[in-house]
Amino acid sequence: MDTSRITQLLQAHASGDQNALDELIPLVYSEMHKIARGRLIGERPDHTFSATALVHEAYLKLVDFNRIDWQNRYHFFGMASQVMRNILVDYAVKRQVQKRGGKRNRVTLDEEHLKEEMSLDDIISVDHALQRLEKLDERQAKVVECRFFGGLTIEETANTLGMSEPTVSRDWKMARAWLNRELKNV
Amino acid sequence: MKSRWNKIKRIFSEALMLEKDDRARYLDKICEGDSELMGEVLSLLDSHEVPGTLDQPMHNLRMSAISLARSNLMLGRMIGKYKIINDLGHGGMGSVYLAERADGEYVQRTAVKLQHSPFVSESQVKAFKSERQILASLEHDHIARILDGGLTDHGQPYYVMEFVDGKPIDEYCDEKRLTVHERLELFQDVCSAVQYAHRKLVVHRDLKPSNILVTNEGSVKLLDFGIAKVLGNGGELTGGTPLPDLQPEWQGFQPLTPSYASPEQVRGETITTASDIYQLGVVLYELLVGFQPYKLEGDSPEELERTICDSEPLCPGKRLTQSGLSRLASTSDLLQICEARDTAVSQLRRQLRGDVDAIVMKAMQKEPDCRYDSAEQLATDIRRYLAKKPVLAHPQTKLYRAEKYIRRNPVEITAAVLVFILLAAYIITITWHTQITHAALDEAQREADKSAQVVEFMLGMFRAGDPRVNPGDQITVRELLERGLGEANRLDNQPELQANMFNVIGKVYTSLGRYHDAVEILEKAVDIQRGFSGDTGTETARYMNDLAVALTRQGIYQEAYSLYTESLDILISQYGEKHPEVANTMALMGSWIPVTGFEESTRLRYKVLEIRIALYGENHLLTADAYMRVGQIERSRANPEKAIHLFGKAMEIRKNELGPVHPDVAESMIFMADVYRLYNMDPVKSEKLYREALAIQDEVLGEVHVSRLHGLSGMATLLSDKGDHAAAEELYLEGLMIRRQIYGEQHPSTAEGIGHLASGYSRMGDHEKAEYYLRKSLGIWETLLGPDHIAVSGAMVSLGNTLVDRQKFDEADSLFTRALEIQTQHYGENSGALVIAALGRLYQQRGDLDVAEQHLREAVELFEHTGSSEHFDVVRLREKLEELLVTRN
Repeated sequence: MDTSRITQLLQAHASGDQNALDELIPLVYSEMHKIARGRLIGERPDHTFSATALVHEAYLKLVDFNRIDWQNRYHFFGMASQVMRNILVDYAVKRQVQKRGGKRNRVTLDEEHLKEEMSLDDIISVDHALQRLEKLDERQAKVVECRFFGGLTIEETANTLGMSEPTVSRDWKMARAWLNRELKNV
Repeated sequence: MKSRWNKIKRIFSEALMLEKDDRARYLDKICEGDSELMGEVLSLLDSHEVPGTLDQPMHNLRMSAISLARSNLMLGRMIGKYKIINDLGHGGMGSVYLAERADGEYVQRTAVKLQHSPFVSESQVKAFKSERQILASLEHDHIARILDGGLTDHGQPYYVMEFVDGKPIDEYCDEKRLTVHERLELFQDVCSAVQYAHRKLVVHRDLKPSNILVTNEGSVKLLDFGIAKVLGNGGELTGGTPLPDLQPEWQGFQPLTPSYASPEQVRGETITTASDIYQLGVVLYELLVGFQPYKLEGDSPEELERTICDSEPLCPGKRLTQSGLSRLASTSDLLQICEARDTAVSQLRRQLRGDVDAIVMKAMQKEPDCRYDSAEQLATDIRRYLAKKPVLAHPQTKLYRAEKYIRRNPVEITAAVLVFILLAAYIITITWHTQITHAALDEAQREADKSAQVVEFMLGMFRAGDPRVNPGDQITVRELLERGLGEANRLDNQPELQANMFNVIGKVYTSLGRYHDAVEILEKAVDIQRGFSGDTGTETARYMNDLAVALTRQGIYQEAYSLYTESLDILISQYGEKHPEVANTMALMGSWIPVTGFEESTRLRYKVLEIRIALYGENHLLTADAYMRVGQIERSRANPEKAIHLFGKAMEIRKNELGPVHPDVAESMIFMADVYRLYNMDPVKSEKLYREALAIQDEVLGEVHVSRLHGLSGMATLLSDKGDHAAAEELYLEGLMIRRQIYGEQHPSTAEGIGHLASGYSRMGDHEKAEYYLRKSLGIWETLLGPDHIAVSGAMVSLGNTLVDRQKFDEADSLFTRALEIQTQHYGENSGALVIAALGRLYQQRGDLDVAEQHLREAVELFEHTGSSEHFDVVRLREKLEELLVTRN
């Protein structure tokens, strides 16, 4: 995949070429897909589909945010991570409200099968903890957004945020340890 | 603040780079006695080492969140000529929307299926277009039509389909509470749609309940035919013609619904129509059983492949046994599943076992070649099953075919059996009288043995509670009996045979709960036999026993008692005391305590034990039976340890003789559990025994599910004593459901089950419900047995007690009085101690303590008078009296 082409198109689009987006979308999509697949190898295998999900998400956002001024593809990744965070937290909050409203349906049944997964509460607590981290260390919080919500690799995160890989790696380790500790004590 | 954070950050990162052993030294040095700083870093290092919240997978959450976000975005958009107006569902690869085509005059509601990922190559687009033509040509009543299809501006392929306002077939079936039979009938429509498409060379590839809708009118519609192939998730599975230019990342996707994927699909091999057959099998499995054949959640692709390709799923009939379920679900799930199929657990298992198992498993064979050749063949087999004909899927044994024939023609075949008995007996009579040849005699003997077996077979079939008897078959059985009775009535010139026939038919009536008819017919048998073989004939004695059984059920105890006495005399005079039949008769006689008397019953039961040990030794099943009987005596005598010892002995013998997993072993366990519970000795042990026994019974339910009732109600009582009323209620209801299924509403056993349920409510303090059910139960008893039956008096006492709890003293009083009348009528003046005790309780509740005391005393005296002072009812009663006296002082 020609990454420079993507960058080129993004720039063209940023400078007002609407047609560039039409060509861009499939390319970005395909690229994201590849990245996502590569990244998920080595994680739990049942993530196979979440690679796709992430890409869908990116795609969705691409379509919806087509007026956003794209700097480059990494800008796009950063955007996607942020959006993913919003979507997830939004979803978790809505579902929590629904649950408290006593609406029980098949969905709740499904959730019982997924005990090892992140829960709605977890998502909300992660978001809250991340907001606290933002106050302590904005850069680390950004790294978490990319890595945790966006699912980006160290390398992608580094490129997205304009940092060096070792720095991202250090930030991530610390932020992860800090957040996990915070969340454990809740 | 910030600088402190940065310090922590720096030390943390430095420490991480060091070997673990060096960290402590480093931290000591760098923190310079700042213990708070050191603590902070150490806790972060600890947290670094272990997985935490952030490390949990969130795939499903992501998917759900994205679906929601996406559908919010899509509303109102145009896809082709269609405007999206609602969201119908999302899968991993695509979404389905409700859309309207609003051009010109008319509005058409459609479903638009949109793939998320756009096509990236010309060849994909070309393949998509040609496939669309084929799909559009599918025209079948049970296939949703493809109306249109194309690519969005972004290159995403979409299909526009006829919108089907229906429910997934599994939901539909559950909601309408379709029986197994009805589900199978409906499923034939699914098969016919698949067959049609296969003839057009279209393979579905993704058959699953959510793709098989049923409209409210009950019409089946299959969605998404062939779409899986074109839309991404099946794209690489086209079998033979992989799309050129297809980029690697488009390949390797497994079907989106692994639960329904065939082994060849999981392995990424060539997909043929056989894959659809497999998926039909899985769907049918789920429709019938309520569970999917495999539990796949959370499996990795490798695990998934192993499970689907290598492991053998439990067949439907087995799945609903305790062992099949334990991995999956709770009893309440099971009850729900049965409820949705309008049936009882045992019945559902029975329905699934055998042919249905075979059909489903044949469709689900791992090897495509071993499955049904076509959907049509599968449908045909289902049709054959429904018509009670042999199915292809089943191994074709002779026995199997014969069984099929019998099931198909219950009336004719059993009539044939009857005729056969008559004929056989006829031959015997002839040959006996003319004594033609030895050969003929041998032949006749053989026939006689055979006919005896046939009689046994018949009795077995009619025996109430036999799982082979469908409740619906009782009508035919009754018709058959009427016919048999007619035949028997014409046998005046062959009295011995006639007596035999009356005896057989009478016993069948007994097991059907028609005691009145049974008594009448069995009396005839005894009279005829008596006339034939005289007062000392052993055959007469046997017939007397059978009559006595019916009489006790009918509540005519005195007469039954004298019959037993007479029959026992005959048998002892003919055989001596140490004879199996003598022991059997004593056992029968001793089993009905009210009239035999507690002492006499005790004596008889111990005598039976003695005779059987002498006859068969310690380790014999009949000895075990005798141990059970004396165990019950000791239980009632308030000797719990002894009772447990005796039941335990019986259990050991049964285990030795029958193996550990046998209903008789379970029975012994249940009796032990009862004692542990009744005497409050060891509720934990009691529960364990109940559960173990119920599991055994479940496992081998084939013959014994009536025996489950005892354990179920015992376990229920235990649970309700424990305060777990909800679980208890469930078990009571399950017991009642079984009774209703087997016996119907108007049967003593059902009345009894309702009574148990009521006692459960009473224990949980819901006296209102208890009253409702006790009235119902009393009503059944009265209808069945007339107003003067002893069982009616029992039901009256139960209702009366509940009425006392509800402070309805007057009605309770009149019920007790009536019950007392009935009991003295049956048992004589000195009976009804329990009723008098109940009256005592009534007065006590009313506050009339003088009269209460008077009644309780009278009750105790009566008990003692009848020689059952050791009975635990008396023991309890004495305690109550003591309590009353204490409160009075």
